[in-house]
Amino acid sequence: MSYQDLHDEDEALFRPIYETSRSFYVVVIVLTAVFLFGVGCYIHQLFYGLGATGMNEPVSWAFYIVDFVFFIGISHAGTLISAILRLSKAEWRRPITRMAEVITGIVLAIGGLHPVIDLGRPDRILHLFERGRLQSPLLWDLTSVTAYFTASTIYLYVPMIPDIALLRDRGGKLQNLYRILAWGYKGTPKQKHALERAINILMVMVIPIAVSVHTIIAWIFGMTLQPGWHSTIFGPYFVVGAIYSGIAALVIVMIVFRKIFHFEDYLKEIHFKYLGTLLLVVSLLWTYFTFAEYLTTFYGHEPAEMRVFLYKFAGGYAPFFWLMVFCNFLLPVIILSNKKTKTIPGILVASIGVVLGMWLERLIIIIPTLANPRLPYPTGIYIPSVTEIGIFAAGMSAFILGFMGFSKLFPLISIWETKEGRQHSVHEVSVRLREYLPGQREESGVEASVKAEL
Amino acid sequence: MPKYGMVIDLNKCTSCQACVTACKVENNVQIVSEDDAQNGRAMFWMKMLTMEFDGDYPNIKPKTLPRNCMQCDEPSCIKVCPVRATYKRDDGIVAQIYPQCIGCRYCMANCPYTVKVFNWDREEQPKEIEKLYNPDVSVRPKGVVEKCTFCVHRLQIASEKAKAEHRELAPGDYVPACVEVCPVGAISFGDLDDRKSEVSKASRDYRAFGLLEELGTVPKVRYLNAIE
Amino acid sequence: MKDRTVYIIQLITLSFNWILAVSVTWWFIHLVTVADELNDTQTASLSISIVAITVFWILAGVLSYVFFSLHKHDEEAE
Repeated sequence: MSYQDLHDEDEALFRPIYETSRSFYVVVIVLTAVFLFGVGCYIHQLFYGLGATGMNEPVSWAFYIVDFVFFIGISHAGTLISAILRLSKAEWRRPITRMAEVITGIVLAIGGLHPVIDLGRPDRILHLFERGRLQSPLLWDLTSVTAYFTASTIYLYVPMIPDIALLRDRGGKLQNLYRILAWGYKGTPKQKHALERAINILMVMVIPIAVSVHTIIAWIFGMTLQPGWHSTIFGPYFVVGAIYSGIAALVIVMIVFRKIFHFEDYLKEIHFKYLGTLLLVVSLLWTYFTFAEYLTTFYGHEPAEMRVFLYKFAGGYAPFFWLMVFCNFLLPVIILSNKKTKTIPGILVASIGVVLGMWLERLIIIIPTLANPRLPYPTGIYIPSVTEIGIFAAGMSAFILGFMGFSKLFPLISIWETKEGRQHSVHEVSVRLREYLPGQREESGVEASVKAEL
Repeated sequence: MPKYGMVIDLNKCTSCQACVTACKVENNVQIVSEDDAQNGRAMFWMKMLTMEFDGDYPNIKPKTLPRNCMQCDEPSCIKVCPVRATYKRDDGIVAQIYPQCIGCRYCMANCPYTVKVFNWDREEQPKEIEKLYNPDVSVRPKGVVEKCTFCVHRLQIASEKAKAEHRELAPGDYVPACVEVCPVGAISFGDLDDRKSEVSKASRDYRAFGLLEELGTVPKVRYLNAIE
Repeated sequence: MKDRTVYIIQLITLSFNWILAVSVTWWFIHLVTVADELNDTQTASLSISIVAITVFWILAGVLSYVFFSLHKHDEEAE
């Protein structure tokens, strides 16, 4: 079958690229305004210094670092989930992977910029290249984020080549761009084989890179001697948190774009149910990690650790802490473990709760420790300034804008994978299923029996 | 090579804060506006810490402790600095290179003593203060981290003077401003490796302790416990 | 656009990935030499750089593999 025959079947997936509604432009203008406001805030900060923020002593890291950890956490949605689902041959992944990978790419770029925004002297950033110290976790972080960004962009791009080829063959707008990006893909079996091989290598590579990125971000804190940070559990704890917020962000994005672009036929309730189950599992895992982390602190009862602990449980950050427990544990577990509430709106509510809760979790990890130093200083205070909130808003709108821009250039749901699913998977899955069953030994025998049935 | 250290006798210290003021003037530490000071941006290299309050109001007996940079032998700030803006000199002084600092504030987050201060912004200083600037110490721009350096500029001047006079650096030649100004002589300073020096003897006193020693930072500023 | 132009642009975009890999390698070698000069955690610097350099080279390699095999088999088909 050649590519020209395949066009119209999945027309709904092409439509967002060629048709743009008026409300789309309105949203773009609003978001651009917000984004420009954030840029203005940053320019103000550039001239005025970090005094424009609410940071002080001892709370010397705040909003920017919280957002950094948060955004990088969201970025785990993508590549990691899509790689794991591909690796485990979950057939329902087909309409999900692309969106997940796009989230990674965009959010990683935004999140990766946050440490630079946080610098007191961004003009001296080149000192990192000239006289950097590889011993500092910040350098590990720079390296791993760069590696992850490279890997996830490639991992987004390579599986997109057949779709770009489809767009090229269609003709129409941006012919030359698609021609360049399609890399001469024509869908010959050998090309397909090469592509599949590359995807397989990439998905195996991407998983350890993704895990390393968030582990290293956790180590920025874990490697210090500060109470509440110096914990061996931090690496895996952050990775679980990242996957958790990532899945939730993915679900939100999927539901929103399903509604806007009418993907109801592709993103069905079953997809959300499966993702909801995944979310529930990770929620329990996250709760387990949190419990383990705080119980050991409490039981050890070291005075410096206990100051931070009590500040979170009953002190200034108690409202945030208990809101986090509600958003990250009670809300998702109640919604997702109940059949009646595990509907698309219910899952959406749970996901929004989780994203909010995970942002709070980053806040609760970072600020209370800094606000309660080991020596008897007065407890620190921190109130974010307009600058910091403006830059956060700019980051969010850059994310949405990036996503919207992407949707106008490339299909948000992998078309060739959907087609492949339709053409081959039914057969492949039934063969696989038979293999699981007792009494069936040889693959060829299974193949024959399936063929006979079909 | 000497190993400079300091011992502060809490028995003698009267919390008069002369060291705090002397340090601030000696090192051109920025004076921030009242608003900023209220918001926790006051800058001190030497700070009087209230460790605990004894007794009830109005008969409170606060226990205070002057705290400068501990000049750790195993400094946690140096470990995490991404650009070598802070390093340990051969004589044990933990020095800062202000033009190298990118202002990531990782060292601030990792200092267990919360010693480092950051120039959140650069405010115009009062005219009288500008006239009093110490020419030997650079004025730090906004966006860099700074901290006590044991008045290392004094060491440079003292050693150059000794060199010009063709002699070795004598024990009393180099002392930081806080040591010099202390009206009760509570702070002793010198070479910890020279076992005959006053500071070395004091550091081995039975009353001697280091702040948060249990963290393994090996502070070179030690304290002598107050006797009740 | 001519096929030739398209191919050249594609090669240029691909070369960005190699530029990244090479510059990361160069940067790490530079950092290790600086660490060695200043006697500052040489072993840690060396081991971190070996891991990181490998990752970047493999990534660039995979991308190039895709590029060249797509083009090779493209010609065969015609």
